[in-house]
Amino acid sequence: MNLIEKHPILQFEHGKKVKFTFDGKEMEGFEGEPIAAALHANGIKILSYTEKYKRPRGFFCAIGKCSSCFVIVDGVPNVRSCITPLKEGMAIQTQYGRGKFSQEVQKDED
Amino acid sequence: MKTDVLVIGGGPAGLCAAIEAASFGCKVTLVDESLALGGQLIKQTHKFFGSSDEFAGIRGIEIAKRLNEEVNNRRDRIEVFLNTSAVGYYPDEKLVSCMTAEQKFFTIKPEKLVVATGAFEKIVPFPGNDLPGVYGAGAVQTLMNVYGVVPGKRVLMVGAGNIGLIVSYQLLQAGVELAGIVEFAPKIGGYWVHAAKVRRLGIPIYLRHTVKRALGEKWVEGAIIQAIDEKGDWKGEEKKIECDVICLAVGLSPTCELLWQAGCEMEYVSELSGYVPKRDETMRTTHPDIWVAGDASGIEEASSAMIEGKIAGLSVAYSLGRVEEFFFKERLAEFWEKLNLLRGGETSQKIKIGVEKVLLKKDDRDNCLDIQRYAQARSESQIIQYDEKFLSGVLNNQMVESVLPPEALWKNKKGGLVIVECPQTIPCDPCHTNCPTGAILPFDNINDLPKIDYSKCTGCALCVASCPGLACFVVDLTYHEGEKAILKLPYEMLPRPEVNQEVLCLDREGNAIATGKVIRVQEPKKDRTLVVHVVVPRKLVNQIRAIRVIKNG
Amino acid sequence: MDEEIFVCRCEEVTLREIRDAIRSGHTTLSELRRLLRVGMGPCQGRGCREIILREIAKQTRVPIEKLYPAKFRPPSKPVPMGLVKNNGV
Repeated sequence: MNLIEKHPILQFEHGKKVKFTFDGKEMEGFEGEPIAAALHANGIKILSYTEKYKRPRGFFCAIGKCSSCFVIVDGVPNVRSCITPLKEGMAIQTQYGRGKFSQEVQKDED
Repeated sequence: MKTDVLVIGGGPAGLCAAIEAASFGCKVTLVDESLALGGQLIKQTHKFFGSSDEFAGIRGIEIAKRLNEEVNNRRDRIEVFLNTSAVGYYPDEKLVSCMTAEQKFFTIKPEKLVVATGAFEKIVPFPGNDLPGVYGAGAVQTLMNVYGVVPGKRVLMVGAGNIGLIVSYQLLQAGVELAGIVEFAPKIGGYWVHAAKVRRLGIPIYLRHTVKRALGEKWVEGAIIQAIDEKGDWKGEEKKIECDVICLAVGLSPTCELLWQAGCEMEYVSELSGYVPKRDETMRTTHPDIWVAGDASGIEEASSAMIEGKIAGLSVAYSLGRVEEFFFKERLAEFWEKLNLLRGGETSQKIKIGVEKVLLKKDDRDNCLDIQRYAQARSESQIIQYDEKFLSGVLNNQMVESVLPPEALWKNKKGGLVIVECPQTIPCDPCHTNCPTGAILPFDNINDLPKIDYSKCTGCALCVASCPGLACFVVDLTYHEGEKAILKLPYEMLPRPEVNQEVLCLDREGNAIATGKVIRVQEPKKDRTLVVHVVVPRKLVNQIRAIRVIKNG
Repeated sequence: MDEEIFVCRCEEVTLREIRDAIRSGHTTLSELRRLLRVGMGPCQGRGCREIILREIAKQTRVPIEKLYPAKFRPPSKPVPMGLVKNNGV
């Protein structure tokens, strides 16, 4: 992970290390930290592609206000990855366009 | 659910509002969108300006901890909902709808509401501004200072206001390369001392420049910047900047959706950076049950946001009958006095103008305070026309002369004398409050420039360690080797210099002009700001203002 | 020709489209919202509102202080429909 090892002022106390997947690829991150931070630490900058022009999108504000960081989490689209905490075993996917519920999630909802 | 007071937003303003209201016995509910309380404070590694009576000289992260403790001490009265967005206000029912973690949806019906929802990063329009790698300054801070994630390899900063300057310095602290800072205006917008801090580490500030386009298909792979003329047209050659992050620090907009939904009267005030609610001196909006505080009421600093939060919290408590009128008025007057002091410096003049535009003045004089009475803070500003070098954070030669101690006293003074490079009226006083000998004189007004009685200075360098702007230095000309002198300077970078180590000596623009030898490393305040004693060539003592540790191998 | 500049990131509306619309007489944010969907996406116009108002101000020569920024309605953040269904207001 691309982490700051040493800092003149700060000491980073990361939580428990957990495994998650991004588009099926296994990655590591820290429990409770935002999904977007975990992805960025793993070198993932593109979180979604836009509906109309298929433009790549990453996060922008990182405080839950700009909605630029949508991803699909465990089948649920449009999750603000910058303020959603990472959990063990999360299956995160790049979101294409406005996002669709996966079939399993739809079944749960019904 | 029901509550006396709902505070939306757990940043400096919201925390202070909640603490203040709870301290008068109100039952407070505090909701915040993020995963921890503190708002932007939890990302601020720099020491705050302002008055030492408040939080001057203390790092933002520490202030966040203290406020958090105060909330925890009042947990019987303050209920906190984290990761919870307030998504709507329904005026007829006086209901606020909230959502926690996109999993739970519920409503709160408060007697009184304090909106302290902060701000949102502004975006500048240029081709490629939507590419991954174009990040808001707040986002970059979150990544690197809260979660310890390296934001990128090389960053171009857009905007030289306080946020742009502070985040630039923080990037350097995190070990990230900084390509430079571009600023649309002909001068830096933030505190001059913040600019000086990055300039002396060799970071260029391109004034009257802007980003023309971001390069890259999938993500940022560079940027084109270009100068602009007075009319805003392109001028001169395009310049290609190597970078993988373009960090936008071009200002913030107040976040006010809930106030609009509630029907509060709003006004666009450019001095406050966007639409803000009209409010009276108790921070009450035109809606009788809604108060506002912090950046949501106009973009300013965290120090003033905290006082606005206290004003709102106090007034809410008063409106609920929890505070005696006499005590309320007295405390409100105290807060306003502090607020006006904070707004007394030259960079705050526009804030005062902006606030004046949206301040509701009541006819009923008995029930309100005459705000003018407390607006005695100095307003005569000292904006002088300086050269371009100065306007980008570098003292020019003429000004260097003016900050030096008197030669006769200086040359034989064992321990050395202080040099304070603080040419701008900003609200700040730790140099005085930390001076053990009274050499840095008391401030009549915290916005005054520091005045020094050199006969009392012992060169102890406590001011060097405590100045939030890293603008104090000590020069001792009595070093036993005649051609050398000792420079005591502040240091907040890595790697940590070791005694006897050779270091590069940098001038005010970051040029390495000599090598020096470290003879002592202190941490006087035990707060991670080091004071490094370096032996340098005597003839360069007025030029050297920073060091760089030469990395081994 | 200038490269495209996306002003409304959510709905992918370009500066050129916005300028064209204003030029053809749609000089309020409400109209532009209906016409182009600017500011109607998940961020609710937080990023683009001011840029668009500034464009309107520039072309109509009405100072931005005098413009109306269109109505704000809840929810100001995206809320999954299922949550509202179960706990509705």
